[in-house]
Amino acid sequence: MNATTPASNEVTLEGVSKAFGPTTVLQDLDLTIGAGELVTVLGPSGCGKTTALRILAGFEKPTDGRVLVGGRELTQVPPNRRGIGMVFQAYSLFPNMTVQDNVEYGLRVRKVDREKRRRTAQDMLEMCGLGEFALRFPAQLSGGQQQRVALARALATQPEVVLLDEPLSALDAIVRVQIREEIRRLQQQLGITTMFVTHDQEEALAIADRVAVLRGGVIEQIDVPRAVYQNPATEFVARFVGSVTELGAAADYQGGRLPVRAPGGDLDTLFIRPEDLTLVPEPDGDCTVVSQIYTGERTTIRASSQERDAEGNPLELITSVSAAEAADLTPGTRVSPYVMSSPALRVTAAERHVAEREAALEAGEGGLRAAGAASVQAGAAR
Amino acid sequence: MTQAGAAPAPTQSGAEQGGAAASPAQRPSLFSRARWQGVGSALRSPATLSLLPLSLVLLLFFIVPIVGMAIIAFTVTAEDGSTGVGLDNFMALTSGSHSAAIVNSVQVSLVGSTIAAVIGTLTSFCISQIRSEKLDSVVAVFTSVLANDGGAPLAFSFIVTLGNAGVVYGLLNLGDTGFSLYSWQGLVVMYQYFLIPTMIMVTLPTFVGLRKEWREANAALGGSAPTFWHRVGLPIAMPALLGGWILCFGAAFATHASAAVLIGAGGYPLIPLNIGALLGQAGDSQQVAMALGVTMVAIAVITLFAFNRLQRRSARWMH
Ligand SMILES: Nc1ncnc2c1ncn2[C@@H]1O[C@H](COP(=O)(O)OP(=O)(O)OP(=O)(O)O)[C@@H](O)[C@H]1O
Ligand SMILES: [Mg+2]
Repeated sequence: MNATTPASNEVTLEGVSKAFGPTTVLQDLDLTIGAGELVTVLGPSGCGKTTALRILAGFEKPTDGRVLVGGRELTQVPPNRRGIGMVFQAYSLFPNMTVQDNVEYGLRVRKVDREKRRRTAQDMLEMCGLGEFALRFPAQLSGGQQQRVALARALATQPEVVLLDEPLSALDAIVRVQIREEIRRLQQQLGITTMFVTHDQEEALAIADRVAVLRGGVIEQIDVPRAVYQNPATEFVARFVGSVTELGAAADYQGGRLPVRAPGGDLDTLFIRPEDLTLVPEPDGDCTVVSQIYTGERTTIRASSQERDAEGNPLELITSVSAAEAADLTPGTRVSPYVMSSPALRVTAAERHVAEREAALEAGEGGLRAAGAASVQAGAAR
Repeated sequence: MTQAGAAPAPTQSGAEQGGAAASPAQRPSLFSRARWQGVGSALRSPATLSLLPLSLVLLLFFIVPIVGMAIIAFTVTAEDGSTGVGLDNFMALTSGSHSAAIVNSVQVSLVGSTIAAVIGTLTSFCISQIRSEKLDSVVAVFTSVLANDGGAPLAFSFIVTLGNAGVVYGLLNLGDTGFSLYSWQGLVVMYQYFLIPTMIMVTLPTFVGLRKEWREANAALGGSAPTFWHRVGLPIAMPALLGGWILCFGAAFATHASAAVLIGAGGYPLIPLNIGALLGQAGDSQQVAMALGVTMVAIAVITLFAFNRLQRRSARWMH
């Protein structure tokens, strides 16, 4: 069962496509998860995250392409012979069995003798902080405890690969952070190749070795969390991961005070992270602070411009400051934006024109556009 | 909970332990004021109030008739016309047609409900595998209609098809096999027409309710489909299967109209038929009928308890 060579549990999706009837959900997807690596798959609802994961698990057959684990092709192998561990979103524990029996299940199927089963399950439960719950039934556990059991159950058979589909989305914020750290710790300790699907960008960045941002069945970017955040490959990634301020800037703008203008025309579009943007109180500033949101360590400041975009809405600027700095930025204060370091992404006017023309050509492909529109909204909501 | 409220709760017994954890000395005695106040407030609680309609229905349609029946059943009329309490009416059940009726009723119901339980379960299972919500709701409507489709019309349609001059009877030469509709086998077959739908109606939601995640978790853990059914699917469905079986037993046990039409009186004694016949006669036969009725209720209640025990054991995990 266990790894023989380090590369034996590398996971690859090779040119995988999936269509349900007329709708294409995944398009020629290539994804490699290195041995012992944790890749989070992040994307808006309906972008195909679950589908990709289920193809890897064997619950869906790809329309095209191959699935390989450790170089062995598994495309046609049924899920119960793949030896891939799985943690679902919720409610996957067998309700008729105790926690102990749930965790032992995979070993029982493998005909491991009773003593060994007991011991492994106990160890697994201890490791997941569940020792005292062994004899309870799932209905007697909290959601967080249930997900821990699901994790223990998936790990009990010592799989080389584990897939998690939004395992924390049904839990409250504090438990979510606790458990994701446990998952990360166990994953690193056991060297398990892991695919972790989520639509929570903070979660995706926090636990990943690499983040794959999926949109409309296509991977927009796959890179280490820092790169995805600081150097997004596309506008979509810039908007979907983290908060961002979008402003127009002249082609020769190189930083410093930025006259507020809506993106468009012959201006470049700057995508600026909150920490790269400084709002300086100035009596003749282009913008007005609209809100302060105190989040503990930092305070989020939102400002809006007098300048309107094409739809007639004010531009929204977002930055985060320390509590001391926030004192000068009370709502109503006139401010001017300064871009202190290079923006996360700069789309030149020429690039944008090319993209707009391509988008117009693709307009027939409704599914992709809908997915894109949904993600723009998701980005704007933050 | 009401108990915890009634007892002047000792501080050390926490909320989750409630009054039950209070030491005997601190508990109010049976007749203490605190206890009666507790009963009073319990009676005024919303839970009690919302139980009121059910209690009324139970009282009027269940308790009153049974008590009435029992009173008559235990009433013995002496030669001189005076009445007293005794078991004479029940003694009359120990022999002849009535004892046969009791045995027959139990036999027909047990065999009929068991066959229906098996066939109904398999059918529900297959329907659930198709995973079409539309089919599920169509089946739900049809089975609930068919489940209530006993009675005389059913018997007549049987006589027309499977009776000694029936169409199917003739076509299949059933006479050669020794099959007779007017026997207990005939009853068992006829009962299937409403028992199987009853079973499907009761068990289909359970099969449909088996979560996809359970199947997939089983597969991801290396289990095959039979493993899933053996360890997860059937154990979860078991309470519903047992419930359906007892319901079928009860339905078969209480069936009167279709059996009466098919068998008539006397041909093959069954409890409901004998009660019907007795009620039509003069003398103390009414008291014997009531004794038979009480026996019937007793058997039904015993069966219910037996099944309940099984069900509870199979549903240990439900809370
Ligand atoms: N069995 C199916 N039949 C038809 N369409 C499907 C099926 N499963 C998924 N889809 C479609 O495929 C698309 C991608 O679904 P998928 O479940 O992979 O999304 P997701 O990224 O996991 O979304 P979410 O974040 O909401 O879970 C959706 O538009 C969905 O409607
Ligand atoms: Mg999903």
